[in-house]
Amino acid sequence: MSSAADLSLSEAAAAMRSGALTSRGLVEAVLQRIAARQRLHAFTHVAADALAQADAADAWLKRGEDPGQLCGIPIAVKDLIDVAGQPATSGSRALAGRIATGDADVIARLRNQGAVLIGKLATYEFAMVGPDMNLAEPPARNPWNLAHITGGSSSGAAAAVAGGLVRLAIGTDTGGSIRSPAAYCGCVGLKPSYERVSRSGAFPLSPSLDHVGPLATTVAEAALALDTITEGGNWRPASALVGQSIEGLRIGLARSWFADDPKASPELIRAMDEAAATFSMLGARVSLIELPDYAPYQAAASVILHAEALAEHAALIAKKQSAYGRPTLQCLAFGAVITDDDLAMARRAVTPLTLEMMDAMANVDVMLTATTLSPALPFSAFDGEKAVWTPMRTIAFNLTGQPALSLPCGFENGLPLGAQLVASIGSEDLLCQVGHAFEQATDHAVQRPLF
Amino acid sequence: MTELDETEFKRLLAAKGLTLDESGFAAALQGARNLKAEVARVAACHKAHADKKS
Repeated sequence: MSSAADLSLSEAAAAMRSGALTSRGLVEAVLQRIAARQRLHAFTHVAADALAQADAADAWLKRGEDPGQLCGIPIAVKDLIDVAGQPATSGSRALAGRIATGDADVIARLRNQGAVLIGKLATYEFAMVGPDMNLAEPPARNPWNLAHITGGSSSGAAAAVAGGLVRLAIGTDTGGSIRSPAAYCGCVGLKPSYERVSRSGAFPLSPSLDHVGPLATTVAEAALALDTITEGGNWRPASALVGQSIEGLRIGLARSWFADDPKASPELIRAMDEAAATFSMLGARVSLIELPDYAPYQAAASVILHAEALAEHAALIAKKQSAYGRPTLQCLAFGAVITDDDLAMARRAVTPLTLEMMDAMANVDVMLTATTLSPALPFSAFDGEKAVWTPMRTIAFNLTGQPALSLPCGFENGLPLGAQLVASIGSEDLLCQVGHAFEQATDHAVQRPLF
Repeated sequence: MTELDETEFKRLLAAKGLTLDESGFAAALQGARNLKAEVARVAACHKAHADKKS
């Protein structure tokens, strides 16, 4: 039986404006879906006032006021981002009982458009490391196979979107935390350009690398969400080119970044080659490009991330150290070895590394590479004692600040794989144009896990 | 580069007010050593850029 929860954002928006659907009806359907699929452990809190928010949106539309396409649409939020009146624990016992007294900037923008802030989503503790089976909330589970992880740290966001609970969620990405769970769970994840979206009201992990952005069912929906949450300034709308032909666009396939790594699965390499072939068939000019070595990007970003994370947590550690999860505390401890000189040296590397990346991409409009090198691992691969790092190609673009879009590109043993598109700063419109064209030409994004 | 030793790491953790149990300390020490290797990689990257310029 069809459910309003399965309507696309544009279908739901049109139905609400024609009178065929109310926000209350939509939210009721989504609440039923959340209740029916609790085994995903995607939500940590469902807003008690969700239906009241929906009624307010209905009243808004009934008065003929139309604040935007997201009016009346239920949106879920990673529990690292403050939503007034809702729990805000960053997935940690160290903040147990904390209720946000105000909205993060990004949430205020959504609320001003009449979006229904339907609840909070599971996150790795302080967006740091996971999965950790010993936190207050169980980790989110991969909708395609509940025995597998979602990736993180926007774990609940990817599970909620890919699991069909909501069409749209807001997450954060410091080293791949939007893109890798999107890839592992089979949904779209869009890390915007650095500082395109305000981080105010999101618990910081590493302010130099932190980004706030959407996870969505489709590229068009991610673009719409990004346009809603973009700060002022001269950013080109991400939705502007969605639906336009990509004929003649130059796409550079950075194949060596994944295919030369022994950790890359053969299925991932095959899926990426097929993605490149699809872009060629759509009329894009696809060429192989060589990017700079990934290792220095990862190195500089890791030094900055760990040093900044420990500094951000210093005050809370002094008061609540025993409430931290063991893997998180261990991971924070790495930062103790970074000296001020080390941090300064890593920060000085950002500009030359960014220039080197831009130089490598100078002759293409969009770069194509893998998001992760393999599908999601099973929970059994994590013993809970120490961190297990899964190979990704994401953190380089937290360092350079370039926008990056992960979208489904295939499956391996029933688990999704993700391709990543990257462009120059401010070129989310190109990313979404190219991503949407790929989505329309393939059936990866329309496949849904069975429940 | 000399490898970070246990005593030095304990001192650094104490300075930050961090306390880990034995197995947590062992795991963190390994991670900290890996991170110090990343610092060396950043230094090498700077040197490579400088060499390219000269």
